[in-house]
Amino acid sequence: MFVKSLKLLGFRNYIEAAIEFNQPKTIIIGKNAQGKTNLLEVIQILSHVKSRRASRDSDLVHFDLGEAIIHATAERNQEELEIALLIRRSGKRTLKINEISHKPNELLHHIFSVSFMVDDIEIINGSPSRRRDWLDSVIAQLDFGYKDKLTKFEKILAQRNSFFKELVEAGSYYYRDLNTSQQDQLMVWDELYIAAANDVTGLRANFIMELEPIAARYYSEISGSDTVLALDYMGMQIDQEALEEVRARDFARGYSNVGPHRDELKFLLNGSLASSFASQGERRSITLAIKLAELELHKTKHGEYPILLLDDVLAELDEDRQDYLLESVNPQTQVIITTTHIGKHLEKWSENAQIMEIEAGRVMGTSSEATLCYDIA
Amino acid sequence: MRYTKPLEDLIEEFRKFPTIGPKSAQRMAFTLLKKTPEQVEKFARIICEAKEHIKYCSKCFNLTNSVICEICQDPRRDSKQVCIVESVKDLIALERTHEYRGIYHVLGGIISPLEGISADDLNLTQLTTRLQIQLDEMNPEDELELVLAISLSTEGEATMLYIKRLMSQFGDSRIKLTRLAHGLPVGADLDYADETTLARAFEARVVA
Ligand SMILES: Nc1ncnc2c1ncn2[C@@H]1O[C@H](COP(=O)(O)OP(=O)(O)OP(=O)(O)O)[C@@H](O)[C@H]1O
Ligand SMILES: [Mg+2]
Ligand SMILES: [Zn+2]
Repeated sequence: MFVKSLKLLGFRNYIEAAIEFNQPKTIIIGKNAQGKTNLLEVIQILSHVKSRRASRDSDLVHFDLGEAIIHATAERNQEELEIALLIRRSGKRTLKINEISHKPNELLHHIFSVSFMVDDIEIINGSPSRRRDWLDSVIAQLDFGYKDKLTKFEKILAQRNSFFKELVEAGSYYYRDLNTSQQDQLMVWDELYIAAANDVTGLRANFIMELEPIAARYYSEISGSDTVLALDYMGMQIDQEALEEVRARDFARGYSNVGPHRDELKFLLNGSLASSFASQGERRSITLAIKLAELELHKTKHGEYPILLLDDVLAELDEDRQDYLLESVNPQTQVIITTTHIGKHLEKWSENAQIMEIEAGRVMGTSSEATLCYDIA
Repeated sequence: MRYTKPLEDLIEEFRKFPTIGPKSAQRMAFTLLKKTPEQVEKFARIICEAKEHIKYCSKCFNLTNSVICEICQDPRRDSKQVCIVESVKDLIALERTHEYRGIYHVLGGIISPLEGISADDLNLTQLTTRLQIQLDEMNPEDELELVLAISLSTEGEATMLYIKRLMSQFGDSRIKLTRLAHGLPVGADLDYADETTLARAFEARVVA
């Protein structure tokens, strides 16, 4: 997987920019707030549809402009790929892949990337929903049916919760308060809910099962110890009985209390919960280990390594870990690193890397008058 | 500047229609103003007559200008096949295929708690009543097929499951429930269909 070129028009602080990647390794260097992360965000959007920091599409469009265009060429399993994405402030997108129109979510299936950002430590430290978001975004790239299943579950969840709220508003707090038609409708929502919830939970559990041994191996290598990293996905397959068990609470809160939207994922070091006991360094090592494991799973599923995006993370790691990260990545893998300066750690690595300087939304040293394609409308 | 009150009112009325925004409403109002008084009177009369004469079929809830709709009255149609649809719009779409020779039952909606629509808001008690009458008149060895021609959205699936439950409560083995095979849109490229459609089409494959 290799992104060969990017042309940006009105994306974040890039009014107009053209970038060619000509080495497997790229170092993007620039002062704070110049647009380094914005550039990585482009690739995140091309592979994950959304980025973590943009809550709406209008955030992605240059303050003074009405829409943004991303035009990318890439190579995947020796095949050429051309992507044109038009992002409007309204949130309506137009996507063309090899000149054919597709639904925006189709982006999930073409360009693959794994990113390692400074705030990824929140996967360990943050709330359960942060961990579920991570699971969902990774699995969506590894299993092409996942996104549809998740969307379906979310729709059923919203309908089922709304059904409970209506009952409560009408003064029904227990199953026995329901008339037969309401009882039947409850059974219908239960049946749909169970199937959709188990689809999502099953794929998540599967993913964790595949990821865990790889992540554990990386962890022990990074830490140079025999500390065992374990990932414990607390999601369970549910059945009618499981729903009956929480029925009283579902009624009381007008909300579905069991399901993948409530599931927790635990990171354990030698059996102890990392978010309570692990040191900062150990937490960073866990994040590093799961990211490296993600790369391996991509290689297994897609026959190729994805693009690795490293946003300022090197500075957060000690020297040994920096070296480990840079050396353990397969030399053919496209890696794009952002940094404010090339320190000792990047010196050796930067020898055969392409170095790109960014200043106020402009790529220095390349001509931004490069002809842009406006063929998407 | 604002339009004079009668024009404002007219635009306002047009805006109450689905999918009509302020611009379209304005255009419609101006189009109407350009017409002769006779043309406008004719238009008004057609609206009133439509409202007066078009009613719901008392059997299947199709639109009709009498008590029972043309389809229900047609002796050539097989009353042992009842196709359940969400709306009259869907009924018309199925009629256009000229494939189906049975009769219909229009639900007048689809279960969706988010929009405040529950099973009780659909024409379902009417369905069970009418099926009961039909079953009473049928031979023990006859079959009554209910074709669920409802969309595969979350709401559609909930509606179908609900009807399935209703029918099982009938406890009459002569009732046979079927649903449309979820196929690929005709003329669409295989790799163009979304995953779910493709997977379902594969599941529902038939002997070639
Ligand atoms: N929609 C937008 N339109 C114009 N400018 C934007 C838009 N969104 C973000 N920016 C600008 O982009 C800059 C941030 O870019 P980015 O996050 O890529 O910085 P960075 O180079 O990664 O900096 P740091 O080293 O601090 O992480 C900010 O100055 C911000 O104002
Ligand atoms: Mg940054
Ligand atoms: Zn009728």
